Amino acid sequence: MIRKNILLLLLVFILAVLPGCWDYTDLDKLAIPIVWAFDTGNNVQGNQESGILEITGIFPSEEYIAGRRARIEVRNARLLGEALKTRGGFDPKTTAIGLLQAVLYEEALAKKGIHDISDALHRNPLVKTSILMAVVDGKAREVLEVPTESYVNQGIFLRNLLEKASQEAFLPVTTLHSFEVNTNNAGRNPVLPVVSVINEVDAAITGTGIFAKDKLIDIVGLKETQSLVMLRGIKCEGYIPFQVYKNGELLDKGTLNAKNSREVEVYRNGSGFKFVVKIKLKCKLFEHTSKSNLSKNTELIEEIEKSVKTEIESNCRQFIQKMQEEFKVDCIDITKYALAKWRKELEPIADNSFMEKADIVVDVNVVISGSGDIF
Amino acid sequence: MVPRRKAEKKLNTTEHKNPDAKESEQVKLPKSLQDKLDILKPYKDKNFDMVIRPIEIKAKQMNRKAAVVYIESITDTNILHQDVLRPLNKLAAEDTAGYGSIIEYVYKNSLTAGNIVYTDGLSEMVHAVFEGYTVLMIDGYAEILIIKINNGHSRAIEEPILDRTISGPREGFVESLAINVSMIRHKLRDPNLAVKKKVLGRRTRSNIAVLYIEDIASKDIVSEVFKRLDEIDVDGILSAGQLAQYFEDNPHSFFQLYRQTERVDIVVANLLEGRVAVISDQSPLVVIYPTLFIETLQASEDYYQKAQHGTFMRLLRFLAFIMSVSLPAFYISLISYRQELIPFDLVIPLIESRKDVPFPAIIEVLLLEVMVQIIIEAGLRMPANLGQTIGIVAGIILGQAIISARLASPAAIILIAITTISTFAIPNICLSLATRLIRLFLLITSSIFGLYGFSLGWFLILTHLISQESMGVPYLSPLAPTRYADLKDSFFRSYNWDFKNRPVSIPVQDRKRQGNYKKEGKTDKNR
Amino acid sequence: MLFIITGTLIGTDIISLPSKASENSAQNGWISIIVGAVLPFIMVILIERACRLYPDMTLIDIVKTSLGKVVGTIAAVFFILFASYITIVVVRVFSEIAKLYLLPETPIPVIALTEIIIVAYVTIKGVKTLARLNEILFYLLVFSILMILLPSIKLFDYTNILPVGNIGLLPIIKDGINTSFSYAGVDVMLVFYTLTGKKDEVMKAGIIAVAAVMTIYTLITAACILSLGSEAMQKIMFPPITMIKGVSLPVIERPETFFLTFWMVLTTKPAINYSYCACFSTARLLGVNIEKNAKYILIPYCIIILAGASIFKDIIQAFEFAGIAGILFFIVGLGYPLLILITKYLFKRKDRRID
Repeated sequence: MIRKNILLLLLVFILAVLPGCWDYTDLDKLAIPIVWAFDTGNNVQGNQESGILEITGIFPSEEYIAGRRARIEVRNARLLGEALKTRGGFDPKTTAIGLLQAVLYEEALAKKGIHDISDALHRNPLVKTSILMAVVDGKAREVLEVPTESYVNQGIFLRNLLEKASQEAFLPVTTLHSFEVNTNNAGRNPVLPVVSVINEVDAAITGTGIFAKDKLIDIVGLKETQSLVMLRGIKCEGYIPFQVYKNGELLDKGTLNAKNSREVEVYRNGSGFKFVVKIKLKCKLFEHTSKSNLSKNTELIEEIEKSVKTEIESNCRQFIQKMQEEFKVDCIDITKYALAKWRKELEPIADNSFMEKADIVVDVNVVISGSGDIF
Repeated sequence: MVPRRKAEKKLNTTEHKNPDAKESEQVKLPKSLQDKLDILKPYKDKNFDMVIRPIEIKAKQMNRKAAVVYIESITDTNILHQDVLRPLNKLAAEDTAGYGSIIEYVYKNSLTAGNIVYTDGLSEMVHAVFEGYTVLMIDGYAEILIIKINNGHSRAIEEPILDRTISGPREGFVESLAINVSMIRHKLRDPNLAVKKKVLGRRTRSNIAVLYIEDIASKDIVSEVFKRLDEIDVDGILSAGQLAQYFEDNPHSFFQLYRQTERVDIVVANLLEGRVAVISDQSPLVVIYPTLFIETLQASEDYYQKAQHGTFMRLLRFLAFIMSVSLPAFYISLISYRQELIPFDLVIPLIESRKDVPFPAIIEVLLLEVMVQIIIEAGLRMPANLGQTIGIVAGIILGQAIISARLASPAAIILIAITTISTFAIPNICLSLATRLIRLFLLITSSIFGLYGFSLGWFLILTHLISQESMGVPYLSPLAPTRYADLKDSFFRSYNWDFKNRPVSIPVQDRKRQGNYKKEGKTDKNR
Repeated sequence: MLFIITGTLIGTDIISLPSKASENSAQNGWISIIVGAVLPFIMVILIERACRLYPDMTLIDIVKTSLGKVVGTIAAVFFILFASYITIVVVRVFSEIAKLYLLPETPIPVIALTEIIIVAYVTIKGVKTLARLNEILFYLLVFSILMILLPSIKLFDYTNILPVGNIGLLPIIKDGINTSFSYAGVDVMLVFYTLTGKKDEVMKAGIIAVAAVMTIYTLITAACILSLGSEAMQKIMFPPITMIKGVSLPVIERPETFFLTFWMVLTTKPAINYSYCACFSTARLLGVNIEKNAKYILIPYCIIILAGASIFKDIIQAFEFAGIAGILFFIVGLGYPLLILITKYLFKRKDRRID
């Protein structure tokens, strides 16, 4: 009995002394990069060299540094790991990658393919695959350097921006998970939102980057982004302005608050494929200038619906044409429906010029389901 | 002088013999009065309140010297004077013909006291005097009469301190066995209630009463209880808690495998479910066997309110238990190991609050924990007037000072405060003491291995609980061997009419305890 | 009983199961799991028949009597070694996963040691504790599975799992054979049969257990395929975890770590069951009473397991050995009952000839 107790005490003592042996890292001894930005970097001589990355990390700090409550570190390295290596001799704090929230890529870098970088993030078991990705029109570092008033630092602002983008406007949101899924499966390609610096004081999402697997092909602006998002079926909620003309006269103009969704059907005749993309917009009338009472003037609602439908359909058709002629990749994610039916046959050719030959038809259905408190 | 003997229960069928006597070891009393008094002389010299009152019994045919011996402070002197001394004095004119001896005449016809036995063992005489009984010895007879008219003081019946309730009876047990048994008998008038007495403790000679309902309780459990009681051989039993530790199932465990309560209604409810209760003299706590872990989180309040409120309160208590045990460990494992699990918006404020604290998080938490426990201990010992000062000094000033001096972070202090308060939400005192130890254990495991250590620690605790058995009944049922029928009284309380059968976990002879009762309310729709 | 079998089955391979299942059959991986369940069903039936012949003897005794002293002892030792081997493999894989996701710095033998402590503690307590533990952990298991499945519904894309059946039957069967190795665990029935009270319900329990496990496996594989796509899944080592990493819930920001803490506890179940089998059988083999001498058997056993678990170099090698374990399971699960049944028939015939 006595011996047992002594052993137990010894065990407790050993265990009490052990904490901190292996994995113990206290919270305040961590350096937490929130957002990483990758640019093409300079080599030792100061010239731009394509194999080198410039990696900028934003680390929250308690004090104000250069006017912002974060520290921005810039490193030049070949790959991510090397940048982390150089941190070791510089900062006593351990880098905690696990809390990474978003990643930004420079446009030129993205055109060469971002697979090498996203591999490090995907492989690391601590990084969550719901981190957000975006392409920057210009130097990615500049986005991080833009000051912000309402958020603790720019990193948090960016994270919230990228995360909530599709809830406020027709903008895509891409996480590492969907990026990896789209890159690795046949017949799919990711799209990333594009962030730019506006007037050196603001950062905003200004478009979408079209990717072929992991290489950026082109950047499209906001208007085409709207069509892309609707065609791709990313569920967003945004505002659509409309103008109703009748007999050349402006009958009404206003805005609809719309939620989009889509259904795709695919038909086949021989070796030709026909896709029918049905976009459904569930809208609420947000505002309009006509003074007529909608309960007595139900035609107005139909007119609004019709005008919105025509406009969106034409936008979409334009975009599809551009996609098939210029981009030549499936950025609206419809090949998977064909693969769902004829996977074995189509798998080898899904990525090779499949989209160009397909016949894609768009059908938009606008339904105004409410008009607020007033008719 | 008093011969050693083990307290052994032996049923004695003759009515007048002392039921606790052991046949073989008796030393018989001498016949002469003077010899008997000589035996008692050393005791008289030691105790100033022992009274030896010599009397003469003058009946028509017989004329004997006698003596009445009692200890004044524990005898009911009123009854003594009225019902013993007075009839003895009035014997002069009476006719004792027809009775073999005068002692038999006195016993059967003269004394008007109720409970009288007569015996001829020496040890019984001595023990009887010290139990507060009155001994009547008559010259020339070896037998003596023991008149059981002891009395003592006792606390008035008041609300129990430990188990309080809002809407239930406010009776708590007191220190007198007779009063306690009477309280139970008032509530449980079933003729099948068995109240068996044992005497334990060589020097304290405490009376222990074992209660059970004969046709409900399982015979194995009852015989097991008696067997264990027989094995106890100690100097003294001071409280039921001490008694329970002697016949515990697993003394090495932190958890109590019996139930200790001060409330009468809890005891009666448990008896009705087929359990066995052990009451010890001079202790207001009653020990109940067998018990389940679930019951440590139950209070009788749950049964007196509506089912929904009872359920809510139970769930709350369960949550309090889990929180009080695992909150510090969880905090440590998040802060020091898995920082990704912290909601991101909390990370930066947490970093800021921990900025200047010199200790690592684990040391900080341990320090605060130890300090709070010391404060609680101090609060227990202080008299009421000083208690308030302690509260202010410790709680407010010390807490503030620690934060200002940057010795601990506000988050840790909040945590420890919540944990301590949750500990007191647990109705069972032993469980709340056990949570201290378990908390420490989990803290250690999670400080070495992080979140994995946290689940490891819980796993070990779970295994430990599962392997406990209280008198053969698995401790963690109805969870571990899942008895679905019993689940309706575990974390939530089903309606009163659902309790048709007694709990399945406890082996009983008779399952049914309720007849059929309509589920819906009593309103008659046809009226 | 039911819970013991279920507990042993799940836990070994569920994490890597979806990749294996889809190797050849791509998006029809989930079907191959159902196919793979056929074999364990057969095994359950066989084992039950075999054990029914000798209801009160433990496996060791059965084997010794039916196969004769020498061969029987060899078979018994082989079984013990097999059970120990599986324990080693399970402990190792468990430590790997823990090291990868939860404790990157801690060396493997230390993690293995902690698990072995748990295993030893439960084994000491006896079979009743084992059964109750399995029961309670089963409910925890269901809860964890739900925790994984429900948030990832956001990530589902139904086109990933279509079309059904396009691949052809052969790849599905090939994968089915691979997946049936993941049902390793049915052979603990051989040992626990004697220890159960209600012998007639064992068959029912075994079948329900296999069916339940099959359902759970299928659900998880289907979920992984739906959210990740079968090609992406080939690259990923542990699809269920990666799948849930992609979801961000409001408060529990990283559901995968949360899930893993529950998971760790669950994966020790097979180890516990198997080690109990091994220790119990060793005790019977040596003719000692398990209750009293548990300590002496247990300590060398633990050291063996610890040593074995530390031998492997890395996780890929561990997986290879796990594959071997699967084949061994095959042999044991089919071999032993068949042997017992065959020898019984031979004896019967011998008896008849004597008459």
